[in-house]
Amino acid sequence: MYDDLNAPEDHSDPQLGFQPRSKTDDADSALPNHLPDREVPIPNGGSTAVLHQWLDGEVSIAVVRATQGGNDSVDLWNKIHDEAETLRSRTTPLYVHKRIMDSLPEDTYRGRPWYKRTFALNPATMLVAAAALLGIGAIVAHAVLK
Amino acid sequence: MTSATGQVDQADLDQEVIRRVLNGSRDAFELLIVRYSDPLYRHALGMTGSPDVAEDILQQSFIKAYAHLGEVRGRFDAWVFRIVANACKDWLKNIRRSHVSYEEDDQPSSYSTPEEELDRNELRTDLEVALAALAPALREAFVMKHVEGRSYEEMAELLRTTVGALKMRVHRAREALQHLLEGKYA
Repeated sequence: MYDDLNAPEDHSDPQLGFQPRSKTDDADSALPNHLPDREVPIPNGGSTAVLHQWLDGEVSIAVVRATQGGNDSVDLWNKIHDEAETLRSRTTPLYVHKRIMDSLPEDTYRGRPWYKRTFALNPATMLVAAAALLGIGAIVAHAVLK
Repeated sequence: MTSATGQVDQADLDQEVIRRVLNGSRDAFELLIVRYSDPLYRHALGMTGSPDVAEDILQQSFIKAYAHLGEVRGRFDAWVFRIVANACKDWLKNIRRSHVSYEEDDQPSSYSTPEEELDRNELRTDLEVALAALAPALREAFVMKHVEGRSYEEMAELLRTTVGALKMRVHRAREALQHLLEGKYA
C-alpha cells in the first residue's frame, strides 16, 4: 500500500474540520503591539505525530502543511518518495537468473530413492493409496482366515 | 497488492514447484527465481545501496534456499524473504563503509535534463548516506515501508514481529532521516 502523496494541497479540509488561517483569526494579531516576537521554539511533537500520520496514509497532506514547518517536511518527504519510487521500479538484471541457476549444484535432489520423494496429496493419489491399503488388507485377511 | 485467495493459489503453485525440484527437477527451481527475484532484489538493493552486493546476496540466498528446500514450511516467498533479509542485515553488521553507492549503476537515466539528473544523484547519495547511518533494523523497516510499499501487517508477517514494533521502527527511522536531511533539502 502506498501513501497518498498526490492529495490536493488545498489547506482546507472540511472532513477534518480544518479551515485555512486568515489574518483576522490569527492569534498573533490579537496580541498587544509591545510584545516581542516569540523566540522560544514551539515544541513540534504534535507536528511530528501528524507527519507520521500523513506518511502512514491516515491524514491528508493539508493537515501536515498546516503544522509548524509542515511545508518543509512535505517537500522533503516528496523528494524522498520520488527517489523511493525510482528504486521501486528496479528489476533484477536478467543475467542474475542465469548466474544463480548455473551455480546450483547438479545432484542435490537427483537420484533420490523413491521413499524419500515427496508426493502431492490430491484425490487421485488418495484413491490409489486407499486401493492399495484395501488390497493389502484383503490379502492379510485372506491369509489369517485360511 | 495480492489478495488472500491469490496468495493461497500462489502458495499452492509454489508447493508444486518445490515438489518437482525435490523429486529431481533442478530446472523447475528457475520458476521460483523468476517469480520472486524482483522484490527480493529491491529489498537487497534498498538495504545495501549497491547493485553488485544486492546481486551477490540474491545469488547466495537462492543457493541456500535450494539446498534447504525440503525445510520449507508455509509460504515459500516469506521463507526466502527471511533468508535475504537476514543476509542483508549480516552484511550491514559486518561492513564498514565510508561511502556509498549505486556506483556501478548502469540503469538508463529517466531525467529530463542533466541538471535534474545531477540534483537527483545528489539526493540519492545523501539519502543513501543517511540510510547507512541507521541501525539495520530501522533501515529494514524503512525500506520495506517506503521503498517496497508494504503494509505494516505484511511487514509483521514477513519479519515475525508486531505491527506496533514495526511502526516504532519506521517512525524512528523517519525522524533520523528527517534530522539528517532537512538542513539541506527542506
